[in-house]
Amino acid sequence: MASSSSSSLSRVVVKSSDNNLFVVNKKVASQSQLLKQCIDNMEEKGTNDVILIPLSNVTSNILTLVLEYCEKHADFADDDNNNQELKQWDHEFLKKFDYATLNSLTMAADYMVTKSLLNLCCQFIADSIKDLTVQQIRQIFDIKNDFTPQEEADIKNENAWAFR
Amino acid sequence: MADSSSVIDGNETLIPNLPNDLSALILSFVPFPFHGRLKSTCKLWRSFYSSKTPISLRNTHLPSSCLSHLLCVFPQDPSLSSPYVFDPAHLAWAPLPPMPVNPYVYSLSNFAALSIGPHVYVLGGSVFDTRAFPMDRPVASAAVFRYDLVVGRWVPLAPMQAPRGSLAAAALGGRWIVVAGGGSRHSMFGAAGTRVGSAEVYDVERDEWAPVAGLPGLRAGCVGFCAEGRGRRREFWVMGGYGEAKTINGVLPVDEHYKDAMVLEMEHGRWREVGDMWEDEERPRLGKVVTIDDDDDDEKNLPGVFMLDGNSIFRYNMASNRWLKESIVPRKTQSGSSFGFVALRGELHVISLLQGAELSAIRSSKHRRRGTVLFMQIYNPRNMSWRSLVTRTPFQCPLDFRTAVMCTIRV
Repeated sequence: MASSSSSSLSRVVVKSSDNNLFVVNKKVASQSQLLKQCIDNMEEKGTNDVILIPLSNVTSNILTLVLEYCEKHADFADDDNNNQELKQWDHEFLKKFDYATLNSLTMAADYMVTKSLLNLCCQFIADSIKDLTVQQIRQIFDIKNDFTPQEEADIKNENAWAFR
Repeated sequence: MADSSSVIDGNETLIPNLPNDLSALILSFVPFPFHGRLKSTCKLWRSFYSSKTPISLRNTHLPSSCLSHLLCVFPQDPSLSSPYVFDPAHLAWAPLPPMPVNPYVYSLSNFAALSIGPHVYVLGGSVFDTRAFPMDRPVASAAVFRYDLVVGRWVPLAPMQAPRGSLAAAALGGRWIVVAGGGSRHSMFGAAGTRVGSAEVYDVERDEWAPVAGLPGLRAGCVGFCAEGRGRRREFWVMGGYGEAKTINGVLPVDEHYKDAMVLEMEHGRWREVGDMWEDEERPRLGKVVTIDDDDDDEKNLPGVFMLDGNSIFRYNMASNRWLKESIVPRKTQSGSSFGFVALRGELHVISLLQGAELSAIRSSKHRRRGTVLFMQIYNPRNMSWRSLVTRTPFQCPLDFRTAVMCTIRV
């Protein structure tokens, strides 16, 4: 996963909820504020051991994706968010996933405090919601229509232009 | 993360299998024009999209470059027909509710519209008042309204001290609105109407108008914008417009158009004359003027000030006090109709109606339905390039860019 590095201190080990270990370059791990905080705390204590960070909420296949994202973004500076190549990569990256995976990825990004990935996932799901009909939204997200037919007709009238 | 507790109680979930704070974030990130339609998904979504949460979450979590930059169009009197917002990034329209009706006045026109944060302000204008005599003579209005996109409501505010339409108005520092000049001319009449020269400043937080030094002369039909930036004194610029009427052969009234600009130095409350911006033969009057505020460049002296005059775009050069040719609109309108001109997200939008032959040229596309079709030619001054888009408006009422009022808003 991580590129090779000269010192063992420049790397950390992250453990997924299903007990798989990932060796991660510190620069990549720092994309997650949660991991960065752990690393900073350990370094303050002056430990020379390899740092092991267990993530009890993230499965290994989702962690793989988060780390893939972090690795890509570690190559770009913080203010490079408008980089067209990176934007394109982000889009291609998320495009591959089904809704359940996006869901888990969103929760993992939130848990690991990777704000740019969280925003990216939320915006991606939001952008797909805007293109769906209300019926499709209910079906995909398993949301029950709790309106009476009269209420539904009233709301449609309020926004009549959108249903033509 | 997000405080959605006011809308959602603990047992309900906005999106099943997802924590409510994340669901709230996702639903807020849906571009604004789609919010109304999503209300019909379920009761919880309806109360979510009727609450303050979506827009406040957008403002706290999205960088300003990712906010929706919307065009707000007032096709007619906003108390009679709905204003609309348009999102060019998604080609999506959404109606705003009509402004509250005053039963004594009708046909509001020539008002000013501008936005501060998620609020749209409608200032003054010219109306017919059934209580005035003679009834068929338009009078200037002092009324001010604010539409709050967060809660979706119109609120009447303190009226201006001097009634005025066709005024110069601009937001200053996110907290004040400066207005100057104006008069009572109505869009139904090409001439006549009173003129004023006074100026005043509105404090958004205190809902109060306070007078400032008036323009040196009477001036209506003028355009206003603010120049502010780091390390620079705040200024309110007023350009063009017309002063006292003169008559040809003592009979025919004609407007004398100003070729100059006046600058109010906010710090001293003094007006500075800038002088004529063009020679007599260049143009009879100022075209439509918009400004582009460059977020990245605070050091610049002025925002980019652009004018659409006929089919040409000019850029104002402060050092020489001249308008320099910047570009030419690629496609002219059919004769007689006029362009709408607005700055959105750092680009100049030149808007026209598609009619007749032009319309049939695109009839294979999805736009072949009723409603007005708009053609937007969009100029980016950074790389001096043009692009265009076509969109069908959701409203049936005619759109005339000589009288329609437009502003932009970011949510």
